[in-house]
Amino acid sequence: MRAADFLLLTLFKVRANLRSELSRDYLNYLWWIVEPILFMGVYYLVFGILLKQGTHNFVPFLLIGLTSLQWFSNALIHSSTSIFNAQGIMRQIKINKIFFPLVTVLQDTVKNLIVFSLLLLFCVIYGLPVTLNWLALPILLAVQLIIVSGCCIMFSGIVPFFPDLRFVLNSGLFLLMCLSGVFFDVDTTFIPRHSIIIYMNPMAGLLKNYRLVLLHGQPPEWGYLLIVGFGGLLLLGLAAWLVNRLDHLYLRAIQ
Amino acid sequence: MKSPIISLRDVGFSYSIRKGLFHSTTYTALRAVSFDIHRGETIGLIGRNGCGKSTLLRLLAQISKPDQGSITFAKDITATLLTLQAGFDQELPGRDNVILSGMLLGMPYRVIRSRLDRIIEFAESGPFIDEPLKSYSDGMRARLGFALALELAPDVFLVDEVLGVGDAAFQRKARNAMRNKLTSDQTVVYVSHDLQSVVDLCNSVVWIDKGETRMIGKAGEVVEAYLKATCAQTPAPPDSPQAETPEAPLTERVKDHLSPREVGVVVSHGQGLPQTIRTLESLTRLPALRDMRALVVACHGPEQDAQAICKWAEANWIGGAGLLHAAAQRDEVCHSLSSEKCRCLVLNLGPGLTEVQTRNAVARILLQISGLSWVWFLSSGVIVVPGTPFALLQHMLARPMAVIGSSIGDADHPGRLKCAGGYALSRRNLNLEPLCAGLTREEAAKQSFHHLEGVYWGCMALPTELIQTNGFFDEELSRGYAALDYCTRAAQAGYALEWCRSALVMADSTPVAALRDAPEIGLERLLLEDLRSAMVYTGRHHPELRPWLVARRALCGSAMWALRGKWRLAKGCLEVLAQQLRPR
Repeated sequence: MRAADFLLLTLFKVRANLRSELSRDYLNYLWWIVEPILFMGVYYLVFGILLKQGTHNFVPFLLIGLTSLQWFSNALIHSSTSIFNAQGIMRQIKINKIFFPLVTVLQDTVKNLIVFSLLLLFCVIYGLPVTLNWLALPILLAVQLIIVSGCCIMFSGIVPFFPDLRFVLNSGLFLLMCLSGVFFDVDTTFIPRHSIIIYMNPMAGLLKNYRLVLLHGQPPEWGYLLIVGFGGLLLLGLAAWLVNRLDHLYLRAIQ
Repeated sequence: MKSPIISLRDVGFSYSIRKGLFHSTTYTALRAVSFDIHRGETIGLIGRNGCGKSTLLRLLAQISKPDQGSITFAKDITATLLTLQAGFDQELPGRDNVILSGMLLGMPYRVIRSRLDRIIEFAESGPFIDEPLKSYSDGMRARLGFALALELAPDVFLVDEVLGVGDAAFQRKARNAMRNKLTSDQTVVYVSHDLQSVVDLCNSVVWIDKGETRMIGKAGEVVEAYLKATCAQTPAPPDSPQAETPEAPLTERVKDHLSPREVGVVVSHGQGLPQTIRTLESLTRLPALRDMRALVVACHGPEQDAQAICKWAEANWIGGAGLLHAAAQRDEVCHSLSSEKCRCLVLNLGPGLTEVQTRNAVARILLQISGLSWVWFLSSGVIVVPGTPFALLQHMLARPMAVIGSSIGDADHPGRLKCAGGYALSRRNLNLEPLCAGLTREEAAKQSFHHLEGVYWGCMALPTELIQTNGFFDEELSRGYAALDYCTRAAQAGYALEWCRSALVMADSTPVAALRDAPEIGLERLLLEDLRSAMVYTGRHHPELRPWLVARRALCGSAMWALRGKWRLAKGCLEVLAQQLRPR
């Protein structure tokens, strides 16, 4: 299959999956808006109203972190078993196995973009400064997409050989949530020496950059983004290579 | 000589099945397969079930890679496995499914779009194409998949028995279209158990035996050698009655060619030729029947009717048809069924027989061919009336069996039959909990096919509430069951005869009512035989059901005799019933 046909097939499948998902629920498209509003509403209620926790602007601080990390964890959870569960179709047709995690990642990306748009709307309503630095957001999103894709393809490529990894995924993601600075500011919580270690987790750095842009109206740390983006591309390349290399073994591993 | 476009040399493939942390078993599907495929030729792959044909197709489609040996493809050669409904999504409209499935099978988006109208037209899905696939019947879905598959044009087409799709008319169309494709310049690897179609379609045939290439050559020669070898090598099981008789190899030959679930038996109702043909047309739409290797039609009309049925079968059922008469003996039936040319065997038992007598005669003939593990009796009334020749059915196959009763209407709702099987299974084990705990219809259907006794027991055992609340049966059938339960309660309360009589009046137009028209002598004999065999059978296999079953049988008997005014016989049955109901 030519690369262009593969890409077209992937995009068509993403669209088909989203349509299929929508047709199962009565509220249809509305869920894509209602669900994140509910999600954000719960956190706003708990942290912003009931606990009155945190620092100044804690609610947008929290929502920016949650939105970004939720994309990562949703995509990883959904794609982790994408190859593992595709046994039926893999037995029938010859297809590059990257197709399965890639479709899931793109599907979650579309949904996340809607959530992200709502987040931007919330920031405006909340009174956060809308500056020219918001133009850097697409770059931030692109870097995150590269990292998400790399992690998802890599993980989905390993799970068929070690299916038990599925069971530790949730715990791992919870740990990631705790260590990425969703609930706290890494710079003020840790001493600088430890902060460097935390920022080796690209998600922690990305959260910080999202907050720089949205919360403080500042430009992102371009140097950091360059390193993370480059590292993400390496990871993506490595994952793609690995899945291609193991392509003919998946069917055997999962049957 | 032209160089091959695909060349296989000592190809081997094994599956590893993981059974625990450090434990796995290996199953070798292919050991040493070697042959060449040249451009434009149609190669047939034959061999017994499990010999590795499908695995080989997957290797040719490059879905898997061989463990040993090599498969060499000429430059830019693509081989595609013809897969119906690959990647179909129930929630999406038919149109999107066609595009998606086509792209998955390797067709560029633009090509599918340009051929979409043709596909829709061939599949006869026009009005429904923008409806979600979940609203399609099984047949419509299969037709759409088949129509798409016809548009594929890979360098090498890998076909694994896909001709039995849709209703009779569509099957004809599909068969012709596929034949055109297979006999064109297209390079094809064709796998089928229908040896006649292999001979018709293929230039050469590769016979795979236990994962190895056994023979390669011209289609006719290889198929003949294959048939000879399979007849000669199959040993009769030591405990089989056929082992003691000289005809055993012939019976085994039937057994070898007709795997379980491949034989259907249709008993015509004696309602005339048009009705029988209508029944057959309905039945051939049943998905389960589409896959059948052979269909036995028993009729008891004039000779010309039997010949007309033969002609219909030849025209509508893939393969030929044969006609046998009442005097047909085991050899003849075996010969006809084992012939690859014959897919439909019409047994004409002569005019003047009742349905029950016809069924008995067929049962007697089939009793001798105990290699057949599934026999479907597809006619109304089989499942409920006490006149069902249980003894014959039970001993006919010398193993558990399913007897599925259906009216013509049920042919459009095969799910009902399957569900009945699943329900029956739960009921047979006297444990309704798993069923209520959420067996879906599909799961129930699967269960019924794995546990062969299903429907017979089920229909005898289903409590009225279950039938009524789940609505799996026709209303009139439910009324029949309701009447029988009413009878049970009446008998238990001691009102016996009069109540039974009114209960049967209630059940008018149900299969129970059919009893009234049956000849008395046959009924009496069958009832006694049935009672006796039920007692023997349940005593041996299901002692916990015996009292209950006998009670139900006795009850039916008493009701029947009461209706006929044979009070003495009815009373006799009620005494049997009373014995069973008496607290122990």
